[in-house]
Amino acid sequence: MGWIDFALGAVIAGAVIVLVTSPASRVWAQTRHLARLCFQTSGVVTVSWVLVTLAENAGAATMVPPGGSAPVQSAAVVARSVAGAAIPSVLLIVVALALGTGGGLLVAFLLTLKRNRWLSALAVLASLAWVVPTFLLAIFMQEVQAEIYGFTGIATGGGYALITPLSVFWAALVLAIRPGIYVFRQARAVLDVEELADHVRAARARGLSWARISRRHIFRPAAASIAVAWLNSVRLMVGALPLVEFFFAYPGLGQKLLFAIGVHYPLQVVRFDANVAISSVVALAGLILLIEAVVRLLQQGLDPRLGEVRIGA
Amino acid sequence: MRLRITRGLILLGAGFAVLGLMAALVVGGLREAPYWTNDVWAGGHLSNRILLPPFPPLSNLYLFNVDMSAHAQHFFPLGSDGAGRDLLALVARAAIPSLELIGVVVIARFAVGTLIGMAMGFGSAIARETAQAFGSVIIGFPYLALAAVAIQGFSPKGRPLAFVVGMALVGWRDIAELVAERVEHVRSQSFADAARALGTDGIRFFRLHVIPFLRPAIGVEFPFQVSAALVLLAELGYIQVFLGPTIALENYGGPATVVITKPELGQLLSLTRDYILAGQFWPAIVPALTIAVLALGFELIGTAVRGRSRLGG
Repeated sequence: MGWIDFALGAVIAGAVIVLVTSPASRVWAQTRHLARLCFQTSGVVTVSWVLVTLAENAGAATMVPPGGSAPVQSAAVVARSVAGAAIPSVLLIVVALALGTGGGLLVAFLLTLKRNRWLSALAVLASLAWVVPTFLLAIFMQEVQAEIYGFTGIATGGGYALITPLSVFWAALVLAIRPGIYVFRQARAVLDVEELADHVRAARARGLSWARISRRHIFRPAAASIAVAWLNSVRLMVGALPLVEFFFAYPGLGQKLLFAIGVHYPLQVVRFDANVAISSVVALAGLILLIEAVVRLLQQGLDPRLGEVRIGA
Repeated sequence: MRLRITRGLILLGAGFAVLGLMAALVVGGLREAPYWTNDVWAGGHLSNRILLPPFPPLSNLYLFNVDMSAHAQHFFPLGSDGAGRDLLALVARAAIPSLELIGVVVIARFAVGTLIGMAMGFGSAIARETAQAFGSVIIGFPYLALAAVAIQGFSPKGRPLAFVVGMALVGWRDIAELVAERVEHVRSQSFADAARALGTDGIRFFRLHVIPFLRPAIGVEFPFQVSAALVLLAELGYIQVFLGPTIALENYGGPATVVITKPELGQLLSLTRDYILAGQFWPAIVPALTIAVLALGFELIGTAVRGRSRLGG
């Protein structure tokens, strides 16, 4: 089965879901996410196929070595190779989510809860690290490892091109910094706006404690907007995955994808492999789309008014 | 209130000061003769010491070329690259096409993102689903891979156009999502129902009730977009996808020297990995820091604008 057949199958599945469930608005409120997932998957496969084919045909000298395209592998071999690379990547993303977006949200909530002006200013200053490119952060982290080794004699790098707890930690830390800062800044912006809302002023006038006001009148109404920011930070994280894996030679999906489109290390020969490139893109995109579907359901639960607006439109 | 205004003014001043400093560096670099960015220098000497490039910052050397036929004295404020070319002059000449590219990319992202975001927020269920599905397909991709593959795919139509398409494809969905989220938020408020009941609709509703909510959100997003586009340019450069042609001169036992005819910041970063592996930090750090400092300037201005627009309502 070719890529276009796969895309067509996903469109048909989506269309069937729409035709069967859309007349019942309450059922449609839930199944629409599944239908959209089918259409998105179809679109991702189609656009990947178009772009990768265009790139393959363009055959720019910097990307495609003189060896040309790789011999076509069977679907099973490609699927096995991509699935094997997906596991380390998912591990990296999970650790990075805990370190980055989890940490960013926690700091944003704590700053609202504590209302300390100096801590807020410090956090805002620290968040300016957002402007540092990911590879520069990676270089900085390697220097930190070297300094730790120079000072204590303990190797903390965890090995190059290996999957060890330490190598996962460092790669995940680099991967987590920018998305963590992004979600922190967006969450702070939303929480700041929410703090000025009338219902918060009314709650303060009633003499409620700030902790209770934060929990019930600030965090809760802001949760739907924060979920959008969190989702964007996840996309940012998965987007930067190829670069981080390439830098640390971490054997995951991102590195496989870059090799498949012809990006390589010095003295390394790689071949443009359209099937592996499309499979890797679809696997990474599938991860993002799945998280997005879950977040949108969650968002509707957090703010029922959004669900009513979406159904009523 | 006064404290917030003062803080906003300080941030605005700091942002303009950073950009002013960068502008002064660019002007200073452009005053250097073109051969300091084109000619290859084999080494330099000071008193009895001979130095091979890359020269460290603040070096003042008597230079000689490969066949010892040319000699010149030169001061390198930011050091040199691996071929002895002045990094200040290179960065200054590289910044102009890079910033032009970033300007076009950000305009394209905002134009597409705002239009589609409004369609998502205001449109009928079908319009919203179509716009969301279209955008979700694009956003499902890992951004770096999407940009790299799209640039390769569109390169036969012209490299600058390929960069605009590839880099604009990546960021517009964040803007669309943000605009749609703000529009949905406004539509779910009771004052929106009241305004509609009073007959305020269409453009007037958008101007009176949506724009005040969109302004701070876009104010926050704008510097994020500029800095994200700058960082994307740097990351693409790191994986050897950059604007314009180069000629690589192989050095045995060292990193290849790239002769740049029309410098661009992404090009300057394309050998970062090699420089770092060779322990030559300055040629890698200076262009990366240039991008980070430029992004910082926009970031500070954006943060100040966000504070002011929040005060204004």
